[in-house]
Amino acid sequence: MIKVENLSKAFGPVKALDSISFQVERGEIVGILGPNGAGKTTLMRILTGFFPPTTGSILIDGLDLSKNLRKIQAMIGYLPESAPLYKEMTPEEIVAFSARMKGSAGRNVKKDVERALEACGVGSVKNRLISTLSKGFRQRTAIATALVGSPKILILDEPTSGLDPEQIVEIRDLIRNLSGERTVILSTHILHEVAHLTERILILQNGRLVASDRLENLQEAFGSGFEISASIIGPTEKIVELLLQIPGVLEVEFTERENSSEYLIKTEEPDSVRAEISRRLVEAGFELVELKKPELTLEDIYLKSVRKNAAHRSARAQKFASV
Amino acid sequence: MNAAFSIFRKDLAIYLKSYPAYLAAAIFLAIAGYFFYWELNYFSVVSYRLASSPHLTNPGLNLTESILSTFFMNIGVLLLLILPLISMRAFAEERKMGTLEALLTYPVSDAAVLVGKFVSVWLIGLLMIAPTFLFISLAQFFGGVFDWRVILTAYGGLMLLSGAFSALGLLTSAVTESQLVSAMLSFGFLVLLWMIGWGAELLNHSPAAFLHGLSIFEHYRNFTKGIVHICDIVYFIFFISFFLLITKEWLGARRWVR
Repeated sequence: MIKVENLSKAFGPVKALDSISFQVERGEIVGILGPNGAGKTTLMRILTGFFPPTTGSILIDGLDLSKNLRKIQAMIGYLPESAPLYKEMTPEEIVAFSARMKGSAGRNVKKDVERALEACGVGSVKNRLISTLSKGFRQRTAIATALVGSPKILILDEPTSGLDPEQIVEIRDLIRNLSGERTVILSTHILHEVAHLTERILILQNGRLVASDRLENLQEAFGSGFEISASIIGPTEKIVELLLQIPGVLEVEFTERENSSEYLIKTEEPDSVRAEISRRLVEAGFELVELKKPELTLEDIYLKSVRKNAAHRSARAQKFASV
Repeated sequence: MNAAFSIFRKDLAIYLKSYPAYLAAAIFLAIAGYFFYWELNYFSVVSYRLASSPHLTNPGLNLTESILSTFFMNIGVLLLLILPLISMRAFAEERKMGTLEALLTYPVSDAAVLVGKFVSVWLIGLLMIAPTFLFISLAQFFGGVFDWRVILTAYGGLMLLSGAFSALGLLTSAVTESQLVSAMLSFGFLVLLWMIGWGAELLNHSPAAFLHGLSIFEHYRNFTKGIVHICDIVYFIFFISFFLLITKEWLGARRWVR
């Protein structure tokens, strides 16, 4: 288990991370989402012990990272951003180097290397120079260097960055297959990547953790539970008038389409109102195509959480200014 | 130790796979060969004239002293030009490619990384120097008579000199991600350490002794004459340790809590 508490990192006057706390359970796949400059790479570098935090603590399997650096680094397989590799080496050589650096020795090196190369699907090109490989194979080789030595934790910084759509799907499948008992923390700024890959999402913005939960819980939390969306065929003005007469309906917005119009109905309490909306529309002879609670996309959640954080900061700033 | 050896092996393999290393070695050996030939030729002309003109006094020409001292000093200057081109990639290239981050997050100490890299750069320098032994062996084969104690001492001095250049080169490579900047910094600093000895001749006693003490080539010169002074050995050991220590601290600076 990884437990991060009140983690902050400052580079001079710039706060790259600001009091971040979260936990990651064993075997969980967690996605760190945020725009460029949100602090994702800084967080990953701290987790891998590349540099220490300014304040805060990290416990991994009960061990304090600051006091057990080497021990914890031995548990981690890290893929830095842009998957750097030595172009003069072959996948087999580079993965063997990584294995030795992680403490593997003698006959174990060969076994570990074979296992990692096969798991990442680079066995067929293991003797070719990195400089001659496609971006996809290079990415796989870089993941193999992180995977070799069977680390308990995989930390992958933007693992699909710079790949074409087909390669992205391949690498996603690879990461999903690798997870198993392993804890995987990956960062990305591609929204649907976390939806496809991860069980839990941490959203970072300006160094602050603005959301941390499972996708469905975030949809629940950030979705306005008081909205209903409807697709109805009929004259829009009459439909809006009818909807506003229903007790509990506060506001109606609509978008006209070719066949039916889309309505967003804001209510006091959606569950009881929904049945009434359906009944009244049918009674009035309008054709109700669809009636549902709108499902938030990851993009909606991301934007809402980021805006909420910005509004919170702005309110705090105003409060201080008035004092 | 295992990690340092792995890094040494990896870096050595990369150097040996890259053509610039061979190009640098070829240039080094071509110029060193030319120097040796020139010194040998000059010696044979002078000794022939002395032999054919009985009225000239023989100043006691000695093959070892006349050729080797100058030859080894010239090799030292050549190394000053070539080794920064070898050491420049040690950290600068890793930083530029992004591999340094992965390297420094393995469960190994910064010191192990540094030692592995230092030994690989040093060994590449020694591998470049080694074929120069062939020049002397050839001259010996064709009738030259050398004092092998002087030769061994001079090669010992060259080993220390290339170790010192490698240590300084690693520092300049660690402070930048540009290989060119690293090579220029290293070259500039080494030239300064060379020239510092020239200025000493213009000064009075105590500053002159101090500047002589700092000059890297003044300490190397004794080895080229077959003289081993403990203070010269201590100077090189101190030089290498000092620059390796600063490089280690520089690498560790990322861990300073700000």
